[in-house]
Parts: sequence; C-alpha cells; structure tokens
Amino acid sequence: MTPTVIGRRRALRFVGAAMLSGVAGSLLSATRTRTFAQADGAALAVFTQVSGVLTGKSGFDLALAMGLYQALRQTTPDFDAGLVALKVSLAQGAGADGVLAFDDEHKPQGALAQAILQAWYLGVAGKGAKALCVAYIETLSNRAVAAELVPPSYSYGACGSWQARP
Amino acid sequence: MSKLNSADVVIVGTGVVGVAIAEQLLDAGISVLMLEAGPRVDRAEVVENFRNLPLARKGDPSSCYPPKPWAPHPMPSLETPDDSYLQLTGPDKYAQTFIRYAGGSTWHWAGTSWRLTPQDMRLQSEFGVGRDWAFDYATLEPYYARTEHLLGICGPADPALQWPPADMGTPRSRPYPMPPLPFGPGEERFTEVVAGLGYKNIPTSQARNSGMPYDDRPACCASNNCVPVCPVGAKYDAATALSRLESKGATIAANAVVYKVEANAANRIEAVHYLDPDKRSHRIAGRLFVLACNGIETPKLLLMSKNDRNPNGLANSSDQVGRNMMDHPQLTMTLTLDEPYWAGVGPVVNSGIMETSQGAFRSEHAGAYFRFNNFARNRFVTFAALNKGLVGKALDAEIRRMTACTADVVLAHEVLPDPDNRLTLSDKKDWHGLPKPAIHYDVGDYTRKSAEVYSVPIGKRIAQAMGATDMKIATKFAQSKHIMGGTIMGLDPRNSVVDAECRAHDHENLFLPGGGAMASTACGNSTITMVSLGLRAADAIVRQLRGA
Amino acid sequence: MKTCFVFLRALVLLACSSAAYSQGFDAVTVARGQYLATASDCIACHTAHKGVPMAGGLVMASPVGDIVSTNITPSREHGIGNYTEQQFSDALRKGVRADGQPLYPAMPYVSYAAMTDADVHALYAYFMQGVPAVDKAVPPTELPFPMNVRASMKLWNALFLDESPLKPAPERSPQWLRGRYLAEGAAHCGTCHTPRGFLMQEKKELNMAGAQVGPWYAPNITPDGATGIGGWSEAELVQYLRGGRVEGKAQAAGSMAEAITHSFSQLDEADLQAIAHYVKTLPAIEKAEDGAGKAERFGQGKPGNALGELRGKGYQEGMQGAYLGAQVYSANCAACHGVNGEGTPDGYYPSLFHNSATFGKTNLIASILYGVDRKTGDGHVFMPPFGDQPNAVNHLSDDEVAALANYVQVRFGGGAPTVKVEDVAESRAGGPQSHLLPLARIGMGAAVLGLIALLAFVLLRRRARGGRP
Repeated sequence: MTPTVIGRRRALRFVGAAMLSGVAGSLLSATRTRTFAQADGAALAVFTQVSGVLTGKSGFDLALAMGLYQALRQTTPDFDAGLVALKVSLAQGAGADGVLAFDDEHKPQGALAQAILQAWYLGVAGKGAKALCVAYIETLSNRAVAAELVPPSYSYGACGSWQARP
Repeated sequence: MSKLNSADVVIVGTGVVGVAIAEQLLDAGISVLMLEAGPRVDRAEVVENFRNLPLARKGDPSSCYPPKPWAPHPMPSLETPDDSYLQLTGPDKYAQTFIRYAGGSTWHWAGTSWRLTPQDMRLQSEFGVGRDWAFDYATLEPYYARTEHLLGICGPADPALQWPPADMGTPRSRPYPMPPLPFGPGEERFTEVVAGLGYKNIPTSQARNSGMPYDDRPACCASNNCVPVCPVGAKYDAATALSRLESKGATIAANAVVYKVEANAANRIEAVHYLDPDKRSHRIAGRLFVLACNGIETPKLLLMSKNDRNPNGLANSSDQVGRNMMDHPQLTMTLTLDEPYWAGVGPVVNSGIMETSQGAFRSEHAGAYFRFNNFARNRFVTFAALNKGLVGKALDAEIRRMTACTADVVLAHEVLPDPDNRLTLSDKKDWHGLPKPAIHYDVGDYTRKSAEVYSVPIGKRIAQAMGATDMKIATKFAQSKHIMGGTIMGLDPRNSVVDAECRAHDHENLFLPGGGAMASTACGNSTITMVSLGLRAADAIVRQLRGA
Repeated sequence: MKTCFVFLRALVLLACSSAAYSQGFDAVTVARGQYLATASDCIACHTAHKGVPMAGGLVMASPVGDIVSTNITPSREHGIGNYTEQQFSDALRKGVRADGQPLYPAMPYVSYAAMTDADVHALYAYFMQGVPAVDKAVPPTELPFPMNVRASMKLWNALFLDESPLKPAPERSPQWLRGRYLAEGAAHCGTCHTPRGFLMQEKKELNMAGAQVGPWYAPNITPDGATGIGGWSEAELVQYLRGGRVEGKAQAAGSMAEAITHSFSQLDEADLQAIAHYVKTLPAIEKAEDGAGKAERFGQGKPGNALGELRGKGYQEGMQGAYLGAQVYSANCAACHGVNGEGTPDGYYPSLFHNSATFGKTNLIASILYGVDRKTGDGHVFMPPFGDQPNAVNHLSDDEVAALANYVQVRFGGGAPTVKVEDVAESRAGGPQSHLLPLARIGMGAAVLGLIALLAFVLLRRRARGGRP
C-alpha cells in the first residue's frame, strides 16, 4: 500500500468532486472493461441531488456515490440524460408523499428511479447475471436497520450479547 | 506423511464424515491419504466472495463457492437447463446442493445437530412403515456423545429442553461440552407464543462455540452468516480440521476427482483411480477404502465403478445403490406480523419444535419439525419495499417494519425410503467426461398426507397465535439439502448396501459411512447422525486393520 | 503370580514415596507457598501446552536456542523430590541446580534472588507437599555449542547476579516496599520488560523500559508520558493486571496474557495496588519501540476503510492488486474488528485505533501471527492465529501479513507503514536471534586459531634453537 495511493484516497474525501477524475479508474474492476471519460463533477452533482430526493437523505459518502454512479452508468444506457429528465420530474412532485408515481409517459423515469434506489439500498446496479455489486455494508437497507442488526458476516459482539437487544 | 500413491486407508472426500474418520484413524497410528475432487480454498476468499455477491445471489448458499470445472456441483442461481449438473425427474425435484471443495458441504451448513430418537430408528417395528435400523439407539448413543465433543456441539443441560426428551428413556452418557446459545428476541417471542399452543420451542443442539473458544476456535459472535459461511470458524465446519489432520500426518490431495474404484478378482478393493485437472489418471493403492463423498457422489462413484463381476456397480449385489434417495422435504411459511420480532440477531438457526416429529400418527403420515428461521430479513424484504414504489423516509420505514415484522417458519418433514427414488448415471457428461447424476424423486403420499392433515394445519395455528396479518405457505416441497439413503444400511445383504458398521456387504475393505447409510430420516438435520456413523465405522476400521 | 508381585512392589514403592513427601509442613505455610508460586508464575514456564501443572516440558524459544523447562513436581526420579530446602533455595535465588550445575537465566533467578528466606521456605513447602508428583521425564535442554557449556554461567553470574538486589529504603511506605518486592522479585517484571545487553544481562539503567520477548515486545512500563505508561492511573494498571485489558489503551497477549491468566489475576487486590503504586514511581525513561510511530502510543489512529477499492471486485483480484493490505483486512479481520476498525460496540473485539497494539510493529505482527488467548475472571478472550498453526483461521504468508500490518498501521496506528517482509519472517521463526551464539563461536574459533598459531610459533622457534649445539 503505497503512500501515494493513500494520499489520493484522502484527497478524494476532502477535496471533493474536482479530484474525482484521478481516482475514477481505480474504482472500476477489471471485469468492467469499458473505460470511461473522466467523471464530470456536474453530472455527479445531479446524481447526488436526485439520490437525495429519492432516498430522503443528504451528505452522501463521496466515494460511495462515485462508485454507484459509475456502476449505474455502465449498466444503464443513457444514464446521464435520464438523470436530468428524472430530476425535472421529481422537481415537479413525482416523489411527494413518499411514493413514486409516474404515468405511462414517464415510465422510463420510473424505471430509472428504481434503478437508482436499488443501487443505494442494495448496493447493486444492473440485473441478473450482469448485476454489479458496489457496496454491502453501506447500503441503505443495512443502514436502515443498523441499530438492531449487523450486516451478515460482521460480528455483533461477545457471545450472548445479542440476547438483550433490540 | 504418506507418499502420494498409497496409504493404509484411502478416504475419498474431505467432508465432515471423511475428516472425522481420518482423525480417529490417525490417532490410532494408521496412515491416511485423502482425495478431494475440488479445490482447497481459504475461508477469507469465501467470505469475500459472499460480500461481493449482488444481493439477490446472497440468498443462495452455493453462490460463494464457484465450482472448479472438474468438480462440478449444483449452482441453482446460475444453471441453465442445458448445463445443470443434476438431471432431475419426477413430481418433486431432488434439487440438492452440495459443495465439492475441501471441507465439503459443512462449509455452509447451519450447524443444526438433532439426534434421532429410539422410535426414529424403528419405524417398521413401531409403525409398520419404512425400515428399522440395523442397531438401536442405545448402541448409537455413545457415538452421539463423541460427535458432540469432537465437533463442539452446544446444548442445554436441562433435560426438559433436551432432544430426545428424557421420557424416552434415553439418558445422555455425557453432558454437552458447552451450554446453549441464548435466543434472540424473535426466538424468545416465538417460544412464548407456541408455549400457549402447548409446544416447546427448544434450543437447537448446534455445532457452534457457545460462550467460549472450543477446539482452538473462537466463540460465536453472531455474524448471522452461518449460512453460507462462518467468517471466524466459530461454527464447526470440516475445513477447520484440515490443517490439524495434516499436522497429524494425513496427506490431503485436492483437485483429485476419483472416477473408479478398482476391485480385484476376489472382490476386495485394491485401489482408486483419480483424474487431475490435466485429465491424467492416477492410481492410489491402499489396504482399506472409505467413500465419504456425500449421498450423491458416493453412489454415483459406485455405479461408475462397475466391472464384469459387479455389472450393476460395486457394492451393488442388492441393487440398492442409488435407490432410496431421501431428504427432509420442507415447506416455508412466510408471515407478516403486527408486532416486531426482529429475526436476524444471533445464529441463523437456534431453536425448534421437535416434539411434533413423534407420535402414533406415524403409521399414517410423516412427522414434522418447526423452526423459526433466524436469518436477518432486510435483504429479503428490501426488494418488496422497493417494488411498492416507496421513496425517502417512507421507504426506510417500510424496510424497518418488514425486517422486524416478517418471519419465516420452516416445516421440515420426514420421508420414507422408496426404491424408485433413484439415482442413476445419466448420459450427460461433465467436464471430465464422467456421467452426471440423474435422480428421480417423489416425496410420496406419506409425506404429502402430513402436509395436508398435520403439519400445515399446525403451521396455520402457529401463524394465528403469532398474530400474523398475512401468511404465505409454499405449495411445493423444497429440499433441505440433507442427502440420505443412497447406500442404505441393513442386516440383510439382499436389500441393503452396507452393514451395521457401514461396511459394504459385498466388499470387506470398503466402507460407505454418511447420510447414504441412514435407514430413516426422521425430521431433524442429519449431520450428527452421519458423523456418528462415521465414528462407528472408524472404530470398526481400526479393529479390522489391527486384527488383520 | 508374577503380576501380583509386581503390583505389590509398586504399591510398596508408592506408599514409601508418598510417606516421604508429607514432610510435615502445616497447611498455612503450604497455602502461602501456593500464593507465592502464583505470584512468581512458576506454572507458566514449567507446564507444557495442555500439559500437567509443574511437570515441565515447555519448549521456549530463546535468542540462543530452545530451552526446555524442567519438571519441578516432587517426583524423586524426574522432578525435585530429592531437593533439600537449601538446594531449592540455591536454585531459586542463585541459579544453581542440586547437582551443582548452573541454570540458564531463562529461569529468572536474578529476580527471585530478592525473595526472603521465609518466602522461600513457604515455596519449598508448597512444592514438596502441595504439588502432585508427576513421574515423567522431560527432554534436557541442549543449546548449541558453546552455550551448552554451563560452566560459563558461573562467570556470567559473577558479573550479573546480585544476591541482594533490593537495597534498603526505609523512607518508603510499606505499600511501596511490598510493590517493589513483588515487581522486582516474584513477579519478575524486569525479566521481560527490561532490555538486555550483549551478554543477555538485564540493563539495570533501563529498568522496565521495554524489551523484545520472542516475537512479542514487552512495552515500556516506566511512567514516561509519550513512550511509557505515564498516562495511566494506578487504578487502570490494577485493572489491567486483573483482567488484561484497559479499553482505549491496551490489552494483553502473548506471555503477558499468560502471566495475567496464571498469576496477576489471582493476586490479592492489595498486592496488585502495591505493584501498580511501585511501577508508577519508577524512573521515567523515554524509550520508544523500534518501528513505533511518533504519535502518542495510546491515542493514535481513527476509523476508516478502503472498501470502495474492493467491494464488487473479486477476492483474487484484490489479493493481486495494490490494495492487498485492505483486502486481507476485509477478508480476515473485519468480521470481528469491524469494517472501520472500530471493533464491536461492547468492546469485546477491541477497536484497532486508540490501541497500543497497532502503534508499533512487533506486537502487531505477533498478534496477527499468534493470536491472543487470555483467560481471566472476566471471561476467555480469544483471537485465533493466522500463522502456521493447525487452528489458524487462514495461513497468511509473510507478504500478506506485512501488507496487512502496514495497512493497519497507516489506517489505525501511528500513520506510517514500517513493517518489512523480513520482520514477519523473523516473528514467525520465534523472534530475533541473538548474535551472541555465532559471535561466541567465531570468537572461540579465533581464540583456538590464535592458540594454534602461538603454539606453532613456539615449537618452530624451539626447533630452530634446538638445532644449535
């Protein structure tokens, strides 16, 4: 683990979107063979804004957002364009009252919203054999129940300590 | 260390039965060579495989064990009808899974270790159905005790909570080496509720280190990941024994697919032949041989080994090899509740109602055992919550609600040995050109009637008592992956494959211990009985080799 | 008939031997002897792994070779059953066996030299009467030449053994004096915690300032602020000795875990307080462990993970790539120590930051390779090993351990990676080897050559002279 890499990693956290381009390549696996244009800070910002509306959360971990964004771009055609359209729909109130409602005309946006939610909640982009796992612990599905449950394969505590909770 | 072409005893298979026998033999000063079809894989790799899986595949325990091409095993999430390993026919699909890695299928078992009861071993005498075992419970009991101490099986000291219950006249010769693991909140609630119906939800006797390190392995810390893999080795799995066996002098050869067992003119086994990943054949000689490759691979190997003198396969003068395939057919009841249970805290299977497996009704239909599954629910329910179109805080709230307020209760049944439930060699070939197994299976009316008049009605009463607002119950039996019967035990060589010590009737120096030898299934998971049979076989092997 | 006779003879022998053992020590003395034996932790060295107490047979790797502990049960044939009290005292305080041969200072007689006659008497009573005899031989210690020449120890003792190591200190409180008596005497803290010189003697001027013990590092326990335990209160020190752990500071492993299990955890509260009090008055010495970071030993590091580089990619890829340390951590350590190194909420699995074990490199490597096994009144703490042991959860290679240790250091420890692959290999082999052995051999070889040369010179000259009439 060379100090240079650590330095880049730390920069990612603190400097923000402007520095993402240097690290983008390292977040992709060898199986994802397409190379991407440098991540556009503006596009990522749209992604995090839309994600914020859909998930009702803010202050996303930049590295996680980046990873999900890249995975979604790989598995969803025309992702950036769809994002912009979805942002507009949401601004018009499609996600009010906690329920997504899209009419037939806007069905693709509904599907896109689902894909984005799936990415945040399950850590997965894409479906079936082509699904990419990007995150596990940090998925919102695990976060939602973190007060009571640990994500499987991580320890709860000393033997017997689980009897008390929740 | 033995040279890699012979040993006193050659053991095919490094699963829980093979390693248990190997250790007994090594401790008795007998040299052991073990052949494993699949690879030797680090626990670290399996754990990361699991974490890297997309969520949908995390639910299939085989998914973090990708097979090597030369040692295929069923991969239900990935197989297509064209490339599937098991060729299945019959009204019920014998869709078993097992792992062809060093360490075998206990890599992903839940650790559940229910003993048989005396009546479980006397179905024919007591109820006029099925078969009797070739010996009684009292004979098996000391082996159960040895297995419990060998694997590190924890359980209750209070006879009121033990299985078999004290009133069956089956005193335990030794206490459990460790106390039971405590129940999580969901299990506590379930216990209260079913007590109101007159049932006892008792702690599962399980191969998991409870409250202390045992066998130089750490104590359980509730990773809730027993299935598919314990990240720390607190659950016993056969992989934990491999280094220790080597330190005692065993030779373990991985990626060695045994394809033929060689018998000589006197019908004694002389050698086994295996293929390496370069498809070269090697011959391994020995004085005595043990096939412990699991209940599908062992009969398959015997059938593949047919010769002129044994045209139906080795050990098969009875024509029972591959017949009587059994399992524990199960139905899963998924409930939505209006109070939080919070399954997912603690090990994945920690308690069960076993008394419902016993009774006079067994002359009419199968018994059943009920268990509250303790897998964390959020990975199952998040899909459903997403599909409801929820977003934001409403989505989080729904995930929390469904995680806390849904539960699976599994109804596991016994099945009778039916010679038509049969494994044969299909004409499909695997990577090595060896025949893939074909299995025809029908759970039978004895089990179907249980679901109809017994287990499902009880399940519904339990659901009602739990206050379920919604109940879904499977309509078709699924498989428990407890493979039994294919090399069945009996006193009469005309209708059984092995004798009371799991020695093949036809070949004095061939042993076939494990699930395949079990003459009845009862309802509880079979591993503890399999290992106990293995220890009994090991004792017989030691006597036989010393006497020779 | 013959077996009957043999049986009778055995019975007679048994009766004779047990009669000889009960030499009439009273129960109070024997009990006090047992307490002192606990304080001196005889059992830790004189018992083999899973062996019979005090029957010896434990093989200890020392920098000059393997030393096997002896059977100190009262067995007449294989133990110390024939020892008089004087012989027992000489072994304990002067390092001389009953046959007159010196002991190696792996037996901490330089520390036990502080013990009083009354205490030695009580110990003798305990070992003669309170310990069951075990008639089993243990293999003798055979160090490589010239270390096996025990006579050389006589010179060593002349140089380094102080037969009255505790100087009078009338101005000190009884508690301080008791603490010194235990710490410098029975509990022999300096045996591990004081660095040694070239001839393996304790460097008294660096008393308790930290030293290597096999693959582990016994840290600086002087009250220095940055490099020692100046930041600990006496109460925390007592808590550590009783239970092996002070959250946010340290936990015991290796030989110290054993010492806590077998010795400290069973001592009286007053004695533990005395030891703590004394230790906190030692002269503060600033001496950091080699390879330790600059930050304060107990407060460094913070949570975090590198999963973004790994999750979703294959394990094999992770193991080949630049993130080897992070991959090994995630696959082997995170299940217990947490994704972010935070441990479990109840602290059962400690956090790896604010943890002195990740501060230096020696104990970090040793913890990974050897695990932690510590049993106290609080329970049994167990971290499995990752070395070559049969029960290793995973057999990690030297490269993998080095990458892992560096990852832990950078992320949770002092902040800079200092672990080399050779460090791991050395730890796996049991710790650094001393240069004393090869140098002694070279030195002896040079001396012999020198003698031969001198002899040859003298002979040649004589021959030359003898040629004249």
